[in-house]
Amino acid sequence: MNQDMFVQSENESRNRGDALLSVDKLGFDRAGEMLFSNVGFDVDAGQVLQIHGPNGSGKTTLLRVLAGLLRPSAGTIRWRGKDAHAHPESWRQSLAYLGHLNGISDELTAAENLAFSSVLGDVAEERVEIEEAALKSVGLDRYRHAIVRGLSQGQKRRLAISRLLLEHKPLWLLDEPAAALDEESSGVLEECIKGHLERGGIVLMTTHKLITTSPSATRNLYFEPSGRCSD
Amino acid sequence: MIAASLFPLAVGADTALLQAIAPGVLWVTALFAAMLSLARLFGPDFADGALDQMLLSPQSLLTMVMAKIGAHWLTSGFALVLLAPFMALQYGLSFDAVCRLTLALLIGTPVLSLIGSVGAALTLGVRGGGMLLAVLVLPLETPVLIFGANAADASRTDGWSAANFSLLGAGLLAALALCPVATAAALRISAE
Repeated sequence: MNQDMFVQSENESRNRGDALLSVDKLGFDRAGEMLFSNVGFDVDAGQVLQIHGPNGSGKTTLLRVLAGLLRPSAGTIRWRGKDAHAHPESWRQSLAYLGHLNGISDELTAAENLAFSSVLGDVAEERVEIEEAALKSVGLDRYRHAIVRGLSQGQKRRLAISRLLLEHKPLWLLDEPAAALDEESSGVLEECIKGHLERGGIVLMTTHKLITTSPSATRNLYFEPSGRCSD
Repeated sequence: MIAASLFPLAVGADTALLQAIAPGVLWVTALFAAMLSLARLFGPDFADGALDQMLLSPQSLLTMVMAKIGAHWLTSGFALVLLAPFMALQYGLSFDAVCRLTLALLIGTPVLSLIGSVGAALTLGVRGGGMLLAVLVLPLETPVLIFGANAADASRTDGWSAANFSLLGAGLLAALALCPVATAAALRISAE
């Protein structure tokens, strides 16, 4: 069902002769200091954009601006040809955001955290099945009823990743998704990303640890400390 | 709650005095109960990133804020409302006075949670936010304290009490209409 949704949107954007996600001349300044400016890229269905750059170059801020948590000081973000920040409702329906913080509560169990996420993400049908499948695909099904506080950092990160799977949003914004992950978990993450791209989704992520994705579908964005960027 | 039950022990068995201070003591403890738990209203969600997820959710933020405030009231204000009749036993209040006090708390304590939520959202992520929160919220909540304690004051006439009840009710309606919207807006600012 979700696959259909993506395919349809792909055709729609092709008709317009426009990329699915198109960012133009995006800039952001905090207290008068320019963090980055003139960031522009197009990403189409099935593609991943890897954002590279040293610490403090504004990668995280860029993702927060894209998500709509911060307001850009210049430029536009177009999603299916429409200004994303002018239509925040449909924008929020399309994106899933995984930040530095996992966004899961220590006091709840893994299953409760996912239940909360699926309510937030408007997952209406077969919620429990979807949640179980999501936990299984990140290898946490044994910890379903474990309190999150007792899980390791890597396991928490995996739980956060499983949240992406249950919402079926076409656009994933991932901030250092591989942080705290061992090799095996990174493999799980790669599988998740691969599956998402195959379904016609889009992934935007910042990375230190390189995550292997198929070269034909990968685009790169390099941040320099000065705030300039190149494709 | 514990504080409120310690007062009669500390002040002594002077019934007239206890009856006179009962509404005031209960209202002050209600205020503190609400204040102390305010930092927990959005703080943990802010710290672990769940707040970002809520802000990015397609669900209505206003509904989520209302639910948060409701939960805060149930665990602070409403708990006190339920226990007030039992506390009143310690102060030797008459049945009529107990009813008034409980009703005043029932109307007034949601206002404490509502106003407090705005302050809690505004001071999210601010260093020394707890102190700032108290400075910000206390002046706004003091009127509730005054009207509430006066409405429950058994030594005054019925008319006086009714006037204070009206003011409390008006405060509740105004806070219900304004505070959740302000809190939602403040949360968006705090996330920046």
